[in-house]
Amino acid sequence: MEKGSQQFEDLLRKSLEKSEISPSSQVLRKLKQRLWVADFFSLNPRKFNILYATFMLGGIISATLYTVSEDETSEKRSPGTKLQAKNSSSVPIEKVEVPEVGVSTPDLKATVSESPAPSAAFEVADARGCSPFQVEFVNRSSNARTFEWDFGTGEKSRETDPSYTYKTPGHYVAILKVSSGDGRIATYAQDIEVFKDPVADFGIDVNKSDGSGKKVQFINNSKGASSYSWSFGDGKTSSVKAPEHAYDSYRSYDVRLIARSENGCTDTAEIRNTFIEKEYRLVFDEYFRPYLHGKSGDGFYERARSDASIFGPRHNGVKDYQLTIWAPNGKVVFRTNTIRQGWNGYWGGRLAPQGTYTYEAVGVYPNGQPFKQAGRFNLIVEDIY
Amino acid sequence: MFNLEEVIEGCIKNKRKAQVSLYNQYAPMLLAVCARYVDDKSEAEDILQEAFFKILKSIREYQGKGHFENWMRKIVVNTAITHFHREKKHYYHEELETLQEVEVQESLTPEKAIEAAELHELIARMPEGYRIIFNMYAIEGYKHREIAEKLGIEESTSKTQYLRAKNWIIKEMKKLDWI
Repeated sequence: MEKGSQQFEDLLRKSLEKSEISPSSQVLRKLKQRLWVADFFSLNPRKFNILYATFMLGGIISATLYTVSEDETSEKRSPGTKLQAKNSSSVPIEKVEVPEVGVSTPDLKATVSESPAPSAAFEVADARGCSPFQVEFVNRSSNARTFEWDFGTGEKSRETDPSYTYKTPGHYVAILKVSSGDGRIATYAQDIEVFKDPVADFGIDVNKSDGSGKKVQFINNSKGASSYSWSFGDGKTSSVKAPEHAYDSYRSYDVRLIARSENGCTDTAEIRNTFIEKEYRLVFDEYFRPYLHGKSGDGFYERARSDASIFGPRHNGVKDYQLTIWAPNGKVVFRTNTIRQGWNGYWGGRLAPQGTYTYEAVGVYPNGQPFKQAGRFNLIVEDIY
Repeated sequence: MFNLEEVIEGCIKNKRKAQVSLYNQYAPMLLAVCARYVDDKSEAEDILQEAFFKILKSIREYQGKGHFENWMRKIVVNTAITHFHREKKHYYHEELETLQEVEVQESLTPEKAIEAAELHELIARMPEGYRIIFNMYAIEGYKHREIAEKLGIEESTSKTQYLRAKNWIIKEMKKLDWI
């Protein structure tokens, strides 16, 4: 029986071995479509852009599927497609089916995201500048919904194109974090440098200036600067670091110095009414009572004339000073070349006699202006107590 | 000229021309296989289309071991089985005692060669309940154990159903004076 049975099956097999049935042309057509779709999805899983036309009930979007390659805008239409969306409003597309092609099989479903991944980018006109450095951030992100800026100073913004002013010199990293709204994020960062500012500062070197104003030597105390622009207030200018300038006369001039750093940052110093800003003067008392019981030193004093038993002027700055005092009989009883020394009222080792004395102070004020001041004072030696 | 190696190579590279060439070469033979599992030609074509899609998608997995035709046939049969499962038309709930022992004739040698087309017609008329098992066992040469596994039935059910099928077809052949 087994043998017979085997013979039977061999017989059937032999009969059917070469059997063929011609398929209808439908089969090849459907097969080609399926292969096309399958290849399409497998080759281009990330190149989908959407692509939807009409909404239908139940969150199904009836759509036309396009491929958009990066460099061309041409569109290819797939054979009948249906895109299934999560919710009816729009995104994201989850599955693509091609029902027309036949049985919907897992091979034919592809995951397609509606929007490409977000990318973060921004531009600034200048990433380096002088303080205060105002930076206009131009957002170049794509596929982003929310923006989070971190300027690197601890301050943040959620604006699309924020403007931010860096006040303090230094290096900063500005970071933009964008979110597509579906959890995907991207970041972009750029260095921002705020240059150190120079400090402009100047004065007048009285030692190298004459008293007439024909020669004024400026001192440049600026820091962090490499070039300078002076304007002397009389219409003349200079770019010398520490210029010497000749004025026609002593008047009030507004002198301005712009100091410029290598990075082009500037600072300005200005002295208004330069030569009368300080009212230089000497003030002498009309009475002088020396120390009656012996010399009180040689008359030197520091800073201010604090000792009432020394004769000398109160002043707010002199240069090239000379004081001469004459006795009532016309004899010179005292002479000094320093403002730090006054007269102690003694002459020839003895107390000078009471009377009206004459003084003359000549010299130059710190701004170069010369002075000559003369007057009289009464020397009092009576003990009033 | 049809060069199988070249065509396979082309199919691996997803060349449309090679795919069509392979199809043209084997589709009729494979459709004949499909046709034995279902009684409707369009249903058979669906299976063929599905199977050919699988063949082309998995052709790189064909290692060149064994006969290429057999490799394709396996895929076709598996697809037919999947189809069979999907359709769920068939159930095997018959009780064993309802089965009669089948008497197998001493001589089954045909008096003349059986035309394949005629045999196809006959198989197409076979009750669906046993056609798939008949095909797998008699034509494709699967073992009952394998059939049971693939169809998710008892091995004894496969044997019983096969005997019924064989009984049926022999009766029919006798009617036609083939044996």
